[in-house]
Amino acid sequence: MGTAIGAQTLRFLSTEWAEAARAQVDRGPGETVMAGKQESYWEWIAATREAYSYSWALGVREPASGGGGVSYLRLGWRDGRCADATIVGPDEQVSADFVIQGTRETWRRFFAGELNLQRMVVDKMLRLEHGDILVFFQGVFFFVESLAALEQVPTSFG
Amino acid sequence: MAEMSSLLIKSVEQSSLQELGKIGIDDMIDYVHKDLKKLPEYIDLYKRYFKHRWNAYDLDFTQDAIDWRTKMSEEEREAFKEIAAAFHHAERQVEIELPVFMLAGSEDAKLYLATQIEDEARHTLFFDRFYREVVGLPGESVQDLLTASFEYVPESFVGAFGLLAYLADDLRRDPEDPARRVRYATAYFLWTEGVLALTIMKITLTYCRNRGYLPGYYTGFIASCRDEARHVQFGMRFLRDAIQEDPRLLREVHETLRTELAMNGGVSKPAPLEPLGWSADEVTKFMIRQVDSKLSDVGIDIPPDIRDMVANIQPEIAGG
Repeated sequence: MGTAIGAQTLRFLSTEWAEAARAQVDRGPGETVMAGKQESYWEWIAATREAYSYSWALGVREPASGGGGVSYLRLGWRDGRCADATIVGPDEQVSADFVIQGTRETWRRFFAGELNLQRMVVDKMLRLEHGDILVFFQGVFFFVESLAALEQVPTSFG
Repeated sequence: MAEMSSLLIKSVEQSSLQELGKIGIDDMIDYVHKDLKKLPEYIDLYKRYFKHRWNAYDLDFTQDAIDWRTKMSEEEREAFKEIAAAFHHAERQVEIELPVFMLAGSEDAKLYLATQIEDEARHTLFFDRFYREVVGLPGESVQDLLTASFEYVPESFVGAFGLLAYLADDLRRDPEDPARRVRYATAYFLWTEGVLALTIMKITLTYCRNRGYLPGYYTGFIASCRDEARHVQFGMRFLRDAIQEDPRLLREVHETLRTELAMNGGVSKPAPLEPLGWSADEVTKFMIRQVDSKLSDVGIDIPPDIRDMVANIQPEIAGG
């Protein structure tokens, strides 16, 4: 996986963390991950990414006891580059092509490396709350590889 | 697909679970397709369920466990585990995602769907027993076995089955919406059941029959394939009727197929076909035939770009 080794641990949903997340996702998979999968797969990912210009709002749903609001990491893609990252607070409107939500506990377990990325989707630990499902799935393996990159960002939930 | 004699149809229709072990996979696949041009009424499919119903606890896996340990090579076991794991989880997925489709539609269709949900649950249990008693995966509960077998599921599973999960979620928001129902039915009945599932059945059952291995698996899976005939016929009838009622819905079929076919190229590791006696080319041809036969029998036209995508299909090993 791309180079998160030695990187500073950052607080989840902080501005610095959002920028680290953007950089890591933009960097994509490292050599070890690339070597473990066949070339045609990476060609598929590259073809999907090449003109990718959608935005993702990755939502963090707080438990009811914590107010039940949703905060987001919004990642904007432009022509295959992850161009911007912003944090959208629970009191703000989020606007993105695809709004995907999970609970705070799901994200905590994700960054702890406890979750299988495929199961996060098929078991609906992440739910697509807004956006065209078919268009989203036409790039699903790119999304999953981006999740794999995001998982490498050292994240604290203190 | 080949014409079936009335004697053969009777044999497939009326065989007990034990007798089904003598039916060949090609005959069973012909049986899946034999009614596609004159699709049965939903209530007839409901009635047929009671003739076909079997019990996963009646299977005997004693010889399978011997074959697994002493006859199959390590390479064959690994390939079989991967392909069967994808099916184990696919069965579970189609079981839990189907009830939402039952929230709308005719009462006859709802009666039928109740039987299919039971079929899918039974198929999940069949794989649970296979992994527990033959492969020897650890676990006390059904959930434990699902967790253990997911380790072998290929990454491409997230494509077709993630899509099905999200389409089910979307349908839950408005179960009556015709466009949502047609998208869901295309992904579930046409692609997952009609193409992917039949492909895995063909690969693994041909292997078992040719090598003379895993008689319990063969019997349970050929019985699952007979169930599949009702599932595919129901789904194709739904799609045919929906499009006849509102031809604009054909667009939803096309968009869903485009998505399934777009994802089909995203396979991170080659499917382990050769240890089971198959080449990628043979599997590709079989999959193309599955798509073509369903669409042509039911009269669903596809535009040239989808036809090109079908011609470039890649082996995909999941289905439920």
